[in-house]
Amino acid sequence: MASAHARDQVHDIEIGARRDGTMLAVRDHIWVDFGAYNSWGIVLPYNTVAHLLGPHRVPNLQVECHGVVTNKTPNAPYRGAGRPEAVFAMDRIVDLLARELGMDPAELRRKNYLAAADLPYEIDLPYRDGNPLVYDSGDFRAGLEAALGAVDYEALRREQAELRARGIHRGIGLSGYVEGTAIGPYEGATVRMDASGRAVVATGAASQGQGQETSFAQVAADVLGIPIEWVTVIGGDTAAIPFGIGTFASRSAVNAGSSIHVASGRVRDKLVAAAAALLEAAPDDVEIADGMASVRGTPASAVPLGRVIQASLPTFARAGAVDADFEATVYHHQPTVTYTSAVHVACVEVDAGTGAVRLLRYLVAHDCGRLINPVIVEGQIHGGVAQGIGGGLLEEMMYDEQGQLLTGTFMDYLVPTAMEVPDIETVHLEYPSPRNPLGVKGIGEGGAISPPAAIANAVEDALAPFGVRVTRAPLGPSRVLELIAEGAARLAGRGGSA
Amino acid sequence: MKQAVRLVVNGQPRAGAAEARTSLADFLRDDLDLTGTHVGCEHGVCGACTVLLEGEPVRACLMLAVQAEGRSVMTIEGLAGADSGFPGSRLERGGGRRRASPNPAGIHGQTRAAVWFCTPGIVLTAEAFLRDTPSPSHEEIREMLAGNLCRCTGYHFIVEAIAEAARVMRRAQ
Amino acid sequence: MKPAPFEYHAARSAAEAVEVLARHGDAAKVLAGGQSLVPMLNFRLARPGVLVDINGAADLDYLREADGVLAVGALVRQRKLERWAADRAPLIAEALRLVGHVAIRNRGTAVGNLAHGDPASELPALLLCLDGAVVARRVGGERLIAAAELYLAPLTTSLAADEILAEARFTLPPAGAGWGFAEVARRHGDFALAGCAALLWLDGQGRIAGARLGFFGVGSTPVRGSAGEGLLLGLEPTPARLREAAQAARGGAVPRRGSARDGRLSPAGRGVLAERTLIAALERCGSRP
Repeated sequence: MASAHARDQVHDIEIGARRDGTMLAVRDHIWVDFGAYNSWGIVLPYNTVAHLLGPHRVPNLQVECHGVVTNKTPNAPYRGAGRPEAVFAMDRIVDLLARELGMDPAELRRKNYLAAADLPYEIDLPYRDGNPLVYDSGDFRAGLEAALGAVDYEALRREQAELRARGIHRGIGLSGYVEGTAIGPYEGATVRMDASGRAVVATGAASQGQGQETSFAQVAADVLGIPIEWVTVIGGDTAAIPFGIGTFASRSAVNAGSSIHVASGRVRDKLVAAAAALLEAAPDDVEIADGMASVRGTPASAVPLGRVIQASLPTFARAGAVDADFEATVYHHQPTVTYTSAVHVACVEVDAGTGAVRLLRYLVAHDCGRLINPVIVEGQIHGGVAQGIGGGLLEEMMYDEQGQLLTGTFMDYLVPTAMEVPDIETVHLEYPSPRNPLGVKGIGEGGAISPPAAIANAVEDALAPFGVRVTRAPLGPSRVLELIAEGAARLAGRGGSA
Repeated sequence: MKQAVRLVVNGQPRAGAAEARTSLADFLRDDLDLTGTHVGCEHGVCGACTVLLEGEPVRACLMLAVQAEGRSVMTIEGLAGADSGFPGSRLERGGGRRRASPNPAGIHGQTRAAVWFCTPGIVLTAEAFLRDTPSPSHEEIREMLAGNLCRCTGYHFIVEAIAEAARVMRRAQ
Repeated sequence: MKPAPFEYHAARSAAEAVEVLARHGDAAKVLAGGQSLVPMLNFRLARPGVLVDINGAADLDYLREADGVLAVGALVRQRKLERWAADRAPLIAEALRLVGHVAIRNRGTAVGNLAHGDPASELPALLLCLDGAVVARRVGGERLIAAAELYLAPLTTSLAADEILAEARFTLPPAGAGWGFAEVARRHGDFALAGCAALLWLDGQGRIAGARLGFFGVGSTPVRGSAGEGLLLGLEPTPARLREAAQAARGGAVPRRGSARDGRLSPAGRGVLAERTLIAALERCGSRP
């Protein structure tokens, strides 16, 4: 528990807008708690700054950020890596603005979210890879509409009002993010066929359980024209490929996937040339599918790829028809990130008597470009959302005044169980990335970005009659009761109405 | 000072020697080579070490090996088949990644598990649960699962997999 | 982490267990279910020189009901008591349902939980609420300790170093009594931030003949809400009276001790819990024997 911490930031954020809700400017002063050792430079706070405006059109931004060294465990990137903090600050101030203007938070976002016609959209700030920060693809307003439609927002608001009259406090919280995924500059791949037509894919990326053995095999198999079972994926072995970077920052599908895609394409070209020689056909007339090569329009000509490969080897009688080199290594260049986006909706019911928050529903409408494997994508989203729910309601690194970590066991550091995570509803939108040959984007982290913000917004929405203002996560019962007490004092000071 | 420990594991008599302070989890893993039982927290919260003691789920990290003397324990290897190569078992080392053969309830293939660290504990807990509660609601499944932490999946598909396993088992009867 | 080395005795009877305790006193700890003790051993928060394992002491494994008193032997697993109590003492069953998870309750003992004395635990509060007592046994005899005298401070009971908690006695509620139980916990199965158990029974005229309120997670020991109980006796139960009793019983602010899972639900929150459990108890009054 004491190896590293994350998410510890304080934001002093202001937003300026016209009365009609058009956002004009954001000013944010950020303090980042680095802990005792800053091993990561400004990676995390820079991510926060770069992702602060998210899907909103805001022409003016001023940010000042201080990293503070404290007697705690070091701050380190943790799923979302600075983006959940940005989104929490922004989505909170947006909801406060909505309340100030008397607008529904969905309506205020609708008015300010960028749409497809606005992209590519440049924010005048370099991304941390030094390249211009340009949202390359997506439609954030469409994502918002998709989320609101899927959750039936209007019906939820009606139900909320009915239940409110009976003293039951339900809340709906929105959060939207735009995420720069798949930082480069490369993740190479070697694709190599053996004499039977099986392929080995070696890449620097190593799987941590996100199913790269499947998704990478899919990419290779699709291009090579062989069954997916014929592909073996080797990750992170320098004996298999000498140069690599690794799996983090939601980068492998894009970086490794692209290298695998291009390398497989080159191997396929070689297979085609060899098959053309063997089948005495023009390369353009050669088809490869299911591990077989054939001449278009002549199914009887089909031969197994193994035979194609073996036929290219020299015999005593003759030289090989082509070089028996069915291997390619590609280091696809990925200069900068590609942008995913999502809108999350959290529905909660808050027990104003005990402070207990029940998460009733959670919905994600997201774009991560083309999906290689929908099952794996959903798994990543669910896992990320569960961690985000932890951040919104349960997980906290607590220290005493002497810097002693108090939450050093699983009895105190509260990881969500199956009772705290509801069924997670997902809506997939697809805006292919123009920045890589697969059109894919990273999805490893997105699920974790929005939940604390969506939950905070939902709780504040549920407790609106109590004058509650949520300024931090997680929201346990004791904290919620404190917020209600503070809200009561605030209302009393203001003469009684929220 | 080690003392002899004799017990039945997965239907087979097994023996070893352990200090009194050695946990059942460590004994199963280190002495009996059954590494499907995982050690996640050593304070009973995460559930990754769950085994069945005479059919009932218990935390192997909170039992001393010597307390299992004469008892009957089932680990995930017993459920999946002796040489199934369930992920984590030493049997699978060097052989690349092989999927375990489906256990009677067929749960673990459908959980969409990512790293599988939680999975043995969940599968064993679910086995006992479905035996006692053959037609569980989703809420009951979630309450049963609350004693097993999973950091990867968000539980959604684990719940579905167990509900499906319950249906399969009911149909088989 | 792994425990520090200890001398290990597997006692085959209660007599054997207390004999080892008498020899080693402070240096010895009793091991029953291990669900509270073994984590402490694993963290080395406890480093006893001697461990007395009573899991083989069959004479401590009994569950007996006689004359309205439930006697629970030291080896009765929480799960076993939970199943027994499902029909016969639903308040106990409901409290146990919220103790950890099934895997914990399959090994953990009810008496062990009582001996451990975590102020956020359900069972100690239940013992208080049900006019309970425990039997402390040592070489040469045993004594009865009333629940009100058992808990001194967090994780500290009035048991002497050479005593084991051999049995717990719960006075079962009279026929027609209604019960209520509620707690606020961060997650299902966690220790409570605060919790309340309530019992109510009425006389033939519909007035409150008996009331019990027990709190856990509200201080350094479980607490009886006697002030609230006193406000109810002899009166007809009205919503206003129940609320007043809950407010009187709930106690004041608890100073923060610095532990993350401190029971720090505000007095207002505790009052809400108490009121709800009293209302539930009233609803269940007289509905079944």
